[in-house]
Amino acid sequence: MTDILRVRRREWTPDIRKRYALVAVLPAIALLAVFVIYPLVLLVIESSQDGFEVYGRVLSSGSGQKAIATTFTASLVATGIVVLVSSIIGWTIRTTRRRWVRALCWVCVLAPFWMGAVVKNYAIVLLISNKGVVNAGLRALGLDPVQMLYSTPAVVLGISYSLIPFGVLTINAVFQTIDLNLLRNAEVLGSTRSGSIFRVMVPLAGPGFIASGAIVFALSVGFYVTPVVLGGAKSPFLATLIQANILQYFDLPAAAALSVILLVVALLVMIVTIGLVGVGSVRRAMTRS
Amino acid sequence: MTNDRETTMNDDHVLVLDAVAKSYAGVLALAPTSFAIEKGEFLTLLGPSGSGKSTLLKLIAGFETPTSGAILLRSLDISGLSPAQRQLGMVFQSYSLFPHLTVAKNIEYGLKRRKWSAERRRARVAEMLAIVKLEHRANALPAELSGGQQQRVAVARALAYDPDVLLMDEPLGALDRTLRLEMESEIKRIHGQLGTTFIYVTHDQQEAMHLSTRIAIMNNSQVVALGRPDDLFRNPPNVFTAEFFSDATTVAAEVDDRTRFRFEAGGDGSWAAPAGTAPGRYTFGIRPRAARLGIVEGAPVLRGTITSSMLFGDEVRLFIDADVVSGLRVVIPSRANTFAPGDRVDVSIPWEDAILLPNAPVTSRAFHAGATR
Repeated sequence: MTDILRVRRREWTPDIRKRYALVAVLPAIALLAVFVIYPLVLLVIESSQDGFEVYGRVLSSGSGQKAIATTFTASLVATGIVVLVSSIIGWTIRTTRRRWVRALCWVCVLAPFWMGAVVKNYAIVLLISNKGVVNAGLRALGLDPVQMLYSTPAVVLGISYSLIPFGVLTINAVFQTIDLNLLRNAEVLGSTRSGSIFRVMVPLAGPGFIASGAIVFALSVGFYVTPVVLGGAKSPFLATLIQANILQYFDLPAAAALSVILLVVALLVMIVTIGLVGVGSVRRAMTRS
Repeated sequence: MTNDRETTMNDDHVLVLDAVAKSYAGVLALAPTSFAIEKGEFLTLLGPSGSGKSTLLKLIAGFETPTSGAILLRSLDISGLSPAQRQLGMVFQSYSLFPHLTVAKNIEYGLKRRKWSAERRRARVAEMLAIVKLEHRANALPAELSGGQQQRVAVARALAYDPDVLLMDEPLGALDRTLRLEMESEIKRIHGQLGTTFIYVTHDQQEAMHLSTRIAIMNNSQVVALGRPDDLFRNPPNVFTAEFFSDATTVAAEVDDRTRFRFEAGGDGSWAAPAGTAPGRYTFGIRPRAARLGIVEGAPVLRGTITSSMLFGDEVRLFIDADVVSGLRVVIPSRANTFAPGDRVDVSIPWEDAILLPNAPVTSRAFHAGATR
């Protein structure tokens, strides 16, 4: 009798109760606080020791301006390339009926994912250095070799190659939501193949392209190894400059200020994107990748 | 019974299938199929899943290319053309309305691809909206419409540019029963109003019967019967059609040299077969509404026990285990149902409502489609 009386009347739900949920996420919150939030706060404090004067200094210095310009133009171009290439690969994966084509696409896309950054970038060095495969080919054809290594395009190439997996994963998540019957129907209604892609697929995937581009851009501006290996001294990235400030000039406030700038830009890009296409598209793109 | 051979040999054909066949990696998906469709017909491809009806529709639409044979649209071979070049209309089961376009823009899509002037497009969209009775939803997005309304937009969009043939792939499959019946009359009305040739795919024989001027019944990758719904229903040309379309229970039977009919599994009686019935083995088909409880003079009789009954409002369906066949279904008016499970009954099947199919490999009558080789 008492047993029956003690039964709590609560509807059954499959999800975890609130107090257990809090306990479950606590370790993650703790990690975040110790390893992300605390250092970031330190960073901001470090960079603003003399008011915000150090920001003015890094922003007005020639090397600072050059690094900012290089970082953002190279990232923008790389983002464009990644979104375009990823869309083509992603659409092939979505539409092909041949399983081996799909499998091959995934292997090619994910291969750079499984390699270390240094391996990836030195592989590109082997291709484009003055004695590399490409220039050897040019020489064999009787053409003059081209200086490709240590240039911004080389950095763009390296970044694009590294970020294509992110591009394909995010864009594929969006393509999976598109009903292919819509495209079949567009063709029955008189569209050509490309017409149906541009009039139906592109408008439907539009927010996904923007969300994917934002993620790729935010990742791109923080690149460090690729600009060092492929760009050298001629194409300094913000991350390179930060490293130089720490290890060569021992100017920690400047390094901190540049880090904060990098962070704020990446954050702004994400906020603007969410404002543009809604949180749903961004979340879908991020959680599927 | 109509004379189909005569009607399909005239020159009013919109679409002709000439020994069209399809196989995937050597596996037959559609046996060579030939038939012709007249202008203004409502032809339904009816069959269970995997019978080849969707393959046939895809071949006509252009999503598949035939392995052999030809598809002629207005005497032009379209087998090698892309879907866009075929100028057909199509309604998919999932409607496939463009979610980013309004109702009006969806309907306008095919007109734009055909480079109609803005003025002509506006007039045609208004006309189509009126035909499907959705004038008030012109600027709504598909997501804001009910299932039935979306279905109507899909029909309006497919018919806007006045295609020679409208293809419909199980368009009512996603709707609930009430809405399905409502949409059936809508589709029938639109077909009557526009006079476009419709080719409709479904697995629901009720739907096929309600809508079609002719039905092609498909099984095992081929057309096994083709004819008017009432003919096929009352005189199915083969056992599959009798069971699948006429809902008949079939029993093995034979007719002897003195035209006496008896059930093969025994039973005690024999009856005079209709005049002119050749001796031989037959399949006897019993439609649920062709059977009578009690003895009818001259009609074959089965004796059995009622195992269960199921109420359908005005009618009751009785399940009877007879001596020569089990699971026999008989439908009688509810008010005449004085029976209970366990009762012994006599079931008579008057000759005029019975189905008698000779056990020869090939059939005759309404069926003249290809794929009989």
